[in-house]
Amino acid sequence: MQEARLNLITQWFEGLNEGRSDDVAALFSPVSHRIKNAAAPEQSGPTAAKEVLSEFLTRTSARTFAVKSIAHGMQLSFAWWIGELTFADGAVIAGHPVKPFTATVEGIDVFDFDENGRITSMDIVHQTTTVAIAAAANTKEA
Amino acid sequence: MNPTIARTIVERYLEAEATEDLLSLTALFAAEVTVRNAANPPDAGPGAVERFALSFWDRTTTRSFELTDTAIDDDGNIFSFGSATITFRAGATFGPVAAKAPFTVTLPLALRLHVDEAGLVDELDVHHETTTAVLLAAGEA
Repeated sequence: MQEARLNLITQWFEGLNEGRSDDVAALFSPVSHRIKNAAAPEQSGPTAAKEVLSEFLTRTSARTFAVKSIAHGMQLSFAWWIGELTFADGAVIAGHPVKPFTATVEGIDVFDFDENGRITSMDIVHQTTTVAIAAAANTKEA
Repeated sequence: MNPTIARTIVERYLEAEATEDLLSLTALFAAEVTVRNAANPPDAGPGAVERFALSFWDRTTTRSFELTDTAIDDDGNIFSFGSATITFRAGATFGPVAAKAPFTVTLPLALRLHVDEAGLVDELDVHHETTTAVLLAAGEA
């Protein structure tokens, strides 16, 4: 089971790095799932991940996540990562329409799975200050 | 590392933070610790844990934690996930923002604790989003 979870988590990060939103969305339970991405409101339902991913991949023109460790508990799996995110021209970040900029963020993703090995719950946990400050510094002039 | 011991370390850490028990808290940590708390710069060396805890307790009146699960890897890391419910004092600062009034916030909380060969924590990473508290402090949420 741990090998299957490791494989799925690897696919999650590889898919993000390569911008393959449909492949990544397919890792989630088609019945229903929940996803909480940092400070954004939690989304749930059969298409929650697809919506979150679509928005993320639109806001970012490039993203490189490097996984530092993956660990499995009794219920949840954890992936500790560091990411370099390039935000797209015109993306609205923390209320600011921005010029392109790149920020480095570190965090932990937390996964729960159903009996078929699909993700049913995911929390993307990281501080949101660095990107907010960078967004303010890179605001597009009106 | 034994998973049960790992979970116990996290439980003791959270209990000490909740109850402002500096003695129990520092007993979990090595003499030299690197603390990385959310968006703050890393704090390393002697006193890092004390500075982190005392600052946190100074800014808050109550704090409680729910622990969902823990996990260990092969490199001495313990990961945990749960939630933190924290009441900040009026005047608590979040960068340039000072809380206009006391407020309570519940946040998902992920931790990484690295344990050395003596079984003591020498690295602590605290991960949580840092937007909601700022908005509440500013009265904008």
